[in-house]
Amino acid sequence: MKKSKKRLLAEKEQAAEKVYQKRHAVYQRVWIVMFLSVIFFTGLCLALLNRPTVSERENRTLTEKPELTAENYISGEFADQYTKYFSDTIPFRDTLLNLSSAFNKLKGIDSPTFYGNVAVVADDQGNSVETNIPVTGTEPTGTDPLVITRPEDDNAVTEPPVTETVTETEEEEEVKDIAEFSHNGIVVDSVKMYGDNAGVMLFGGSKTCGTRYAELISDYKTALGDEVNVYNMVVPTSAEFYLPKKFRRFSASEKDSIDHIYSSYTADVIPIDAYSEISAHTDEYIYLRTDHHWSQRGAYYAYAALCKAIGQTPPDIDSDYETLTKEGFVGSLYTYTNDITLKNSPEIFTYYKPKSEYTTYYYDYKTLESKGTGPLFYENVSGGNCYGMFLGADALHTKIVTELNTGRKICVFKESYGNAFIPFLVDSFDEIYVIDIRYFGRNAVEYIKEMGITDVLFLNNAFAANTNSLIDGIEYMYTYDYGTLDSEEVAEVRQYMATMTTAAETTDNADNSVSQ
Amino acid sequence: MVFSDIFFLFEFLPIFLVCYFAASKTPAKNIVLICFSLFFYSWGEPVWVCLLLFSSVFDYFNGRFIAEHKDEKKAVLGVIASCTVNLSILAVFKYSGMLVTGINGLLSLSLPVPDFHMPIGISFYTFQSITYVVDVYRGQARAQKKYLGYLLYLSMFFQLVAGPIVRYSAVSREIENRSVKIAEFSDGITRLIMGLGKKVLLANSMGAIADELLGFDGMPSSVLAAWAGVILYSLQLYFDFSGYSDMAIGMGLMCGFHFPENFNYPYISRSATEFWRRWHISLGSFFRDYLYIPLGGNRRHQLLNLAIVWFCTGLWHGASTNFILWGLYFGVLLIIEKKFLLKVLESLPKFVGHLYLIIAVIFGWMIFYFTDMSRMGACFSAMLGKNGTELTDLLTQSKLQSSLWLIMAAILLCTPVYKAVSDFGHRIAKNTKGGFAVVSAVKMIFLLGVLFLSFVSLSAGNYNAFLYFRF
Repeated sequence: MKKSKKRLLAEKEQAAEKVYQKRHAVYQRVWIVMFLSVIFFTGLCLALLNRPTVSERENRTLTEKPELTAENYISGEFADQYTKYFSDTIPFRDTLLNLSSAFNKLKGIDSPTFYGNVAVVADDQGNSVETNIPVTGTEPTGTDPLVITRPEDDNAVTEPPVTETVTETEEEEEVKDIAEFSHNGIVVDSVKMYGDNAGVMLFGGSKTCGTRYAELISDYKTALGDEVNVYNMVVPTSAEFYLPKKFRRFSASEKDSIDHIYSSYTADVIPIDAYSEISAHTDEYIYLRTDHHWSQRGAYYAYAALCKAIGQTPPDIDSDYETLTKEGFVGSLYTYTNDITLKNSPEIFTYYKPKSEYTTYYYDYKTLESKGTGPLFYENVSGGNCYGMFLGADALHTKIVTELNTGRKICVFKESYGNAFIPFLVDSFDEIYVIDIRYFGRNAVEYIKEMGITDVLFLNNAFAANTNSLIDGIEYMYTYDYGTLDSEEVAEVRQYMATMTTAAETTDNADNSVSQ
Repeated sequence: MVFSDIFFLFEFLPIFLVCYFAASKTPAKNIVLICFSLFFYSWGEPVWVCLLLFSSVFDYFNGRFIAEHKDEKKAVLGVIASCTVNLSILAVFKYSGMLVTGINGLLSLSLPVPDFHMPIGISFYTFQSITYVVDVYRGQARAQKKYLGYLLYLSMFFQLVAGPIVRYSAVSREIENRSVKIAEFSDGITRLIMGLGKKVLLANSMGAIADELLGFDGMPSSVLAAWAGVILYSLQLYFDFSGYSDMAIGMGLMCGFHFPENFNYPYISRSATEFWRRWHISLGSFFRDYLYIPLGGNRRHQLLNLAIVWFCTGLWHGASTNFILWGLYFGVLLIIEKKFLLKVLESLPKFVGHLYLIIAVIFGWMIFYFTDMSRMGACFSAMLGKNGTELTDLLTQSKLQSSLWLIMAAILLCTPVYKAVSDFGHRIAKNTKGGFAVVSAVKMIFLLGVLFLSFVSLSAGNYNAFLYFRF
């Protein structure tokens, strides 16, 4: 009886095993077919579907398909390039990137995400700090953009046709601007600005850099003498006001850094206290949430601080300007971090157009050749490019002539923070000269004297004023010697400069105008 | 080319499979496999194909020579020639930079330091070549008559780049004749996807954080950062390397080859001795059978033999002092264990052994990670909490938190938990009504999910470092 029960069980077990094996054989076939279909289908899609050439999400041109030659195959370059091209231009790339970000969120507890290196908080040596904050440091090509655009560089980028200048440079600008801060820690999660998600870049700062910056500006004042007012305005960035408390210790105080700079002058430079003016309005939309720049409203309060210093009353931001908006702006902080919360919180980019009359002239930074007149606001920008609207980004030397009659001409030395600020000046000065510290390739002191400028303003954000490569630019323009050009070139430069001062208005002819 | 690459997975592999199964008989399949392997190897570094071909021709003739002079004293010449040439190739392409720098330092000369771009997989195929010649000499394998047969053995793309180190005797019969069974093809796919997931989803994620935590200037930011960095690096190494081996073994199965296992849950070991029986098994057994035993093994000057073997094991992993240190570190541990520690550990509760091994391995990987001695020292003292390093810091906490689930999963997957789950599934499928359909569906969805996530992660261009380039 017992025995047969045992046997019965064994038989049952055997039967179950048999059934299982049979089913398992079916499973294996189905699985093989499924896997093969998946890789063949995916393979076909990857081979046949159109490949994107630019990524809107990251705002960059994707890797190009390399051409196959015997030479580059043997060197292995073809394979490297092709592999890069193949994965970089994958169809539905942006969708896949979004999926990947979403997957990354599932990897753990939603906690503050830092991107990049967190800058070492201010020290007195400065050395370990400034390496973390290259304002113009890493351009995609790996070379210093300061060098690229200097006049002695004969291999500088060939001139694009005038009509395309602005669009061309916009893209370049975008890439550069991201690179500017790409080595800093960015905090995204749990940062809120104006009730919405935001990113904030942590500030490092270095007293050594600050001192050097202050001393160089003092040198300008000394060289320019009493006839020219030299103003210096270092503006705080969003980290100063919007960094959540728990991250404070990763970020140095920009206020301290600015105070240090303002107390380190060796000549009669006039400090502009933009800090107080801006910090009184932190509940207003004065910084971009998804970008490392301020908003134009923030720039307005800096302008208000300047007005105070030169004894003027600024127009009212809410009533005296034409207020316009662009929807769907997602800026550089997103491009750098790819953080999905930023992408999902686009901002409304607001800009303020002065109502007064003015004309804007553009010149090549390298040759000072006239590019004709153009708009001050390039309003056809969209998406992540909105900040590039002012002055058509940084790439051209700009002069604005207003219809005021104050007898004052101002020259502004700036990096990209200055762009949003410049338009306000049309209500305060007869002529406004805009020089980007990173690109100008002339002796700035001589230039200022030659143009008969009465007021000089250095306008930089706290990061820039603490960054050696930018300060190098200020020094470069100060020490730049015509002697390094040959006599023919010097004559050319002088001729261009003369053209600018005397016949600026006449250069405005239809063939030569910067079109939108 | 590497396996964790979209081009490989979705273009190279399908096209290869079509051609491979279009070829009817084994010899034709072999030709297909050779062509694809050479293309695979030449992708990126075509010049080094010549080196591979040279090595294969040379050892093919060595094999023939030994076979012809079987039982004569002359036969040993073939072995000597093969070892000399293969080791010289390794010395020149992998170690010449280190050697010259060393000589320069010792004799204060300034000889130009050669800067070869190390050919991929060179450490693996030169060793395989040696196993062939030695196996033939020992009579453990018959010399390959056809050159193509030998070239296939050496160049097979599954294991060419990162092992396992397959001995000639293990695959010699399959080179001549093999068949692919449906069950094995199916298992091979599963193995391939699991390996891919280990590499792309686990190893890459662990590696990205480990590099951030260990890529410090001067000092790690906290004790936590140093420990977490090294632990995550340990996880990365295991999943990277074993994932790659899984993929090789899986693709081998899909083509009818049976490669030996290379990893057997090394982190659950209870002694360094056991660890080395579970970690990179094909390398450990290579050194055992082709170096340790010929040197005399346990029989004479065992300590010296162990020292030599562990020096070489360390050196094999890279041309840098820290790898030698790392090898010797394990050599010392093994000797201590042999002398008395193993016995002591056996008398203690199990967890003591686990704890000891884990800590020993983690310190080992710390040595392995840092090629720069001063940074290694900084990490070491931070791990011990010296120099007033803070216990923890917000940044590290936030990094660990944001990958917490994945890290926990990775730690869990270092144990045979996957096997337990899969056995459990097997039981359910067999004994429960309707269980089979459910288990099969879950399995397929899981594997396809892993494939899909790996694809997404690779296409997003996430961190995808290739650790074997140094080996």
